[in-house]
Amino acid sequence: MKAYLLDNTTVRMAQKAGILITLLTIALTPRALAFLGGSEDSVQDDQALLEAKVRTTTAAAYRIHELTSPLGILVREYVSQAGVVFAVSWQGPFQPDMKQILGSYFVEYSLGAKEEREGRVRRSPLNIYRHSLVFQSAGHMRANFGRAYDPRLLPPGVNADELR
Amino acid sequence: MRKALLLSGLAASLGLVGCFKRGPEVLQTPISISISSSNPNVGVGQSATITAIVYDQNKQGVQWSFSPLNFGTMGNATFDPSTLTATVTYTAPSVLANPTKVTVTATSVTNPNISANLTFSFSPLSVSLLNFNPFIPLAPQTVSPGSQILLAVQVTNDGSNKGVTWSISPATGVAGTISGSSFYGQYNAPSSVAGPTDAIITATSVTNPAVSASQKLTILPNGGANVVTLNVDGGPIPGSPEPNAAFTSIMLCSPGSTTSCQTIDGILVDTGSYGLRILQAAAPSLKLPLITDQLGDTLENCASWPDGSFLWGPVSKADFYIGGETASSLVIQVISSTQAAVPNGCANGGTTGDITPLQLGANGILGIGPEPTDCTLSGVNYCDGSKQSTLPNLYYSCPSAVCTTADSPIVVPAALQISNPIISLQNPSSGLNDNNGVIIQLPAVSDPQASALGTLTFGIGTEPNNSLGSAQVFTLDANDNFTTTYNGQTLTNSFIDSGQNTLRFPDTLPTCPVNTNYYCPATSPTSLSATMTGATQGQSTITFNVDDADNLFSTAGQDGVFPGLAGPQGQYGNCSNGNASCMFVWGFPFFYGRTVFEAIDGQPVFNAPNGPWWAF
Repeated sequence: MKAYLLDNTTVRMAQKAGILITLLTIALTPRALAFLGGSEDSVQDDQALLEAKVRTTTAAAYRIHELTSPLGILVREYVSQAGVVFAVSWQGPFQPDMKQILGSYFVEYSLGAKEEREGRVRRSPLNIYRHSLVFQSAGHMRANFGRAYDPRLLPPGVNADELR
Repeated sequence: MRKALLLSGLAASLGLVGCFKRGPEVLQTPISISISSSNPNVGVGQSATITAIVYDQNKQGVQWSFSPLNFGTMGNATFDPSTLTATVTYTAPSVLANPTKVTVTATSVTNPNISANLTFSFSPLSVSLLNFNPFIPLAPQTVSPGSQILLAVQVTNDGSNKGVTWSISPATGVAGTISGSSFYGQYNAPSSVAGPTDAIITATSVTNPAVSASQKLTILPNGGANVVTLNVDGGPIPGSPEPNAAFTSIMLCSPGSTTSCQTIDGILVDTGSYGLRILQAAAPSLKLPLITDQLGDTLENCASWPDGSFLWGPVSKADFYIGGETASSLVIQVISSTQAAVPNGCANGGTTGDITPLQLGANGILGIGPEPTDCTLSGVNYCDGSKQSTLPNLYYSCPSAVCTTADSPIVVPAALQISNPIISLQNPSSGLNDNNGVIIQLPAVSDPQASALGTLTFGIGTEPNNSLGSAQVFTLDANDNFTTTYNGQTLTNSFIDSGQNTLRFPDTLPTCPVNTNYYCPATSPTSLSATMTGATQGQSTITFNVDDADNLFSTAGQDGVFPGLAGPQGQYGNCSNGNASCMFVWGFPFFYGRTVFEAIDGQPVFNAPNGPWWAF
């Protein structure tokens, strides 16, 4: 599928809109994807598909692609000089599509979330700390905040404090 | 019956045909029976005379029977050959346990293949307790010492119309007294109580003493129609206490009904969400009207939480009663007890939906946060189509209440969205709308204890008992948040949330070895402080204690009250930069020892800014 699907509704509606979208999707499929751990290649395509506004900021060790969906979900994608997405963050009235922004990390997130739920944590922020995934999600109804990163992919000298 | 008549008609025409072919012969007119009742709507304990006109040349009558056997009695059978009229008296039983249909049959004596019947339906007696003035269902409520409540009962299917007898528990008088007649009662609260005191009022049918209706009244020093109790008692699941959570009781009725009602307790009071959400599994007999479109598809709702869990089920309407307050045709969510296919957009976290009280830690959630519906924020409604064509994953339309994982959300007007019940509250006894916010009051506690009793008061500055007084107002930003500065960190997305059990904030405090999502300070409890700053007004420094959570859970694991429960949110050292995912969650422990006011977005409050805000 595509990268940076901010909210899957938009995507589904777009998919329903016509075959053109389907063709675009197929055309995108072979390319590297831009979710956590992927490359940033398809950001511009996603922008067109998702009607999302993209703003790019360059820091010393990485670029930030900032995408705002029509629903007001702001997703920031942190891309290393090597073109790898090493962190994503989100904030807005709704949660982003976790499958889309987490990519192959979704399974790890899902397992971690289940583990936390089975513990004493209920209706609390979710914090998952694993070797290959740090996931933090908190807030309340209509105000969601979170970030996810792979500590192994953090560029040298980059502190998680910068991932906001 | 119809088939029998048809057959006899057929036989008649065949007979006629035969007559013309075979020559003269005595014509035997077929037998038919016409049946009727003197009282087509016989009630329980009532009698009816049933008449059968028997068209039979032999002038024979009928045999009477009824089914099910022994459901009532039958007697006084008569037959007048001159008028071909048979009668019998059927008397229904005065007490029955289940809805029952009785069939009375008249069978021709001449030809037992010919019969006619009629059917009566009976429903069991039921008793409903009502407030007499205003005339509304009696929900669990609080009263002040020395006050009184006028009561009434609605008794259905009582053939003898004998009404009820009244009783109170405890009967010693410490919780007040009750007196009354067959259909009206008067409860007199005691002139004083040593502490919060419960009274159970019961109205018992005279006709069938096995049927009664009861309701709980709680005498509080400052009780009243707009006050209900908050039980911080671990909740409704024995052996699996929910720490630091306030539970209350509500009553739901089918819209417009004063008898089709159910009291549901163990309802979590949550200032972090919007709307009433009831587990169908916790109220199996609750049947509320669904909302359907022209195609008959039902409207379904999804509530998802930051921890990846979600609630899924149909949007329904109910008359909502809490204390002496009412909200007619409130739009609520009934969480389905089976969830075959939930749209992917709802099950976003990859975890499963909560469908049992054990999973939810409650029988339902009363979401009374500072927004009017579950799809609004800062005056924008994201689900009614006004914002843009893109829709969030909240509302779905499902054929026969079954969605598929691929379904897309739909546009829903605000009037059909899950609504913050506070917005719709009316107090019929005062005639006022206590709909601009709430007040949560809990006692101060310093150590774990089994339970604590607090109050939830409806309205701010709307009644004599809910004025803001000198409380300081903290206004909220566009995300309904404010800023907390703590330990060198500026935590811009902080909020107060009665639905979260714990204080959550980034710190250097060690996390617990066992319960790793909680803090275990080296010195417990540790006293700390943070500063709350409202978006446009309000600033205050709050001191709070953090206790050793491992120790708390191991020594007081079955308790409901844990004032020192705290844990990390975000990582200290990674949160100094206005980091959105770092915040100070003022969860439940914040409420202990405070009177906390919450005003809902856009609602005017006397002598205060419009909501949303917190004050304490």
